[in-house]
Amino acid sequence: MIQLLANPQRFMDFSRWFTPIVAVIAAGLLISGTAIAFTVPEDYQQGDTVRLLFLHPQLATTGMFAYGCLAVSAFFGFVFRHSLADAAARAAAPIGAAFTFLFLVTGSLWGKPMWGTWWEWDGRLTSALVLFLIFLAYMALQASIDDEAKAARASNILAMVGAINLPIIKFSVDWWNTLHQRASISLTGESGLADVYLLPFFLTMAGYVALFGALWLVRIRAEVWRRKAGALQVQLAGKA
Amino acid sequence: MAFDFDTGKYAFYVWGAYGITAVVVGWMIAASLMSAAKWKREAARLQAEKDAPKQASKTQP
Repeated sequence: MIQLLANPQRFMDFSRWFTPIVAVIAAGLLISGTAIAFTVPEDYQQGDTVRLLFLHPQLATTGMFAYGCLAVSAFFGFVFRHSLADAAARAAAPIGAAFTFLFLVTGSLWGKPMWGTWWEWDGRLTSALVLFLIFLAYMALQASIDDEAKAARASNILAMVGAINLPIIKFSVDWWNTLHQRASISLTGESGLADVYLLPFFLTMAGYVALFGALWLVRIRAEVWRRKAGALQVQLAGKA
Repeated sequence: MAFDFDTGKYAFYVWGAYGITAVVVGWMIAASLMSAAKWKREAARLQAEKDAPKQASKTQP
């Protein structure tokens, strides 16, 4: 796998057929999961807002997963100075920012009817906003430095430092008093969700993560072509 | 299995959340595909430009 990822040409050959497969899987999971989400019974406390249980946590997980992918790519780019890792980090940022934006907006739209407020400066909500701001800072830093190698190096450092925010978001509901409830789903213990909600919950969860995967691959491909175009431009300018 | 799209008094919140997600996801898909297509075209164009003089010089006597 590392061999495959280390070679841009091999990555392009592989992603050309792999990306559409991931996209089809994402579409299938999202359509079926969202359809089932509108057939399950209303929650006795939450009423119809339970439909957001199949949207908001998924967007939250995908936004954080996207940042994890960015940070791991940044690590490989920083340590091994690998151009494809830099491309992968750069490609993950705008998609992750968009998912995190949706994570915040849908959370706010769920908070208003359930908590009576659009926003509260508590641990979970603030750390989620910080995640969004780190995505923006990463993109702004990259855009502000003309030399691409230097821009990649500086933004990779920012991405790695920013990764500290991921466990803070995850455990904020345990560490601090917050409006947000604790995790309802646990891999090891009992789940707090009714069984009828589990299938659409996990279908949409896998669907949004797969959607990120497909978009990420498309954007890495775009980034490889962009770099190729940049290199060709330099060669052509040198000849002229 | 019947669909229940009636979200009652929570319609604004539920459909607002799904609506904005659809818009942003749609925009993300379109922007990503268009960016990939643009750079693929640009790289191919520059490659052709780089190869062109070589072919031209070959044909010259």
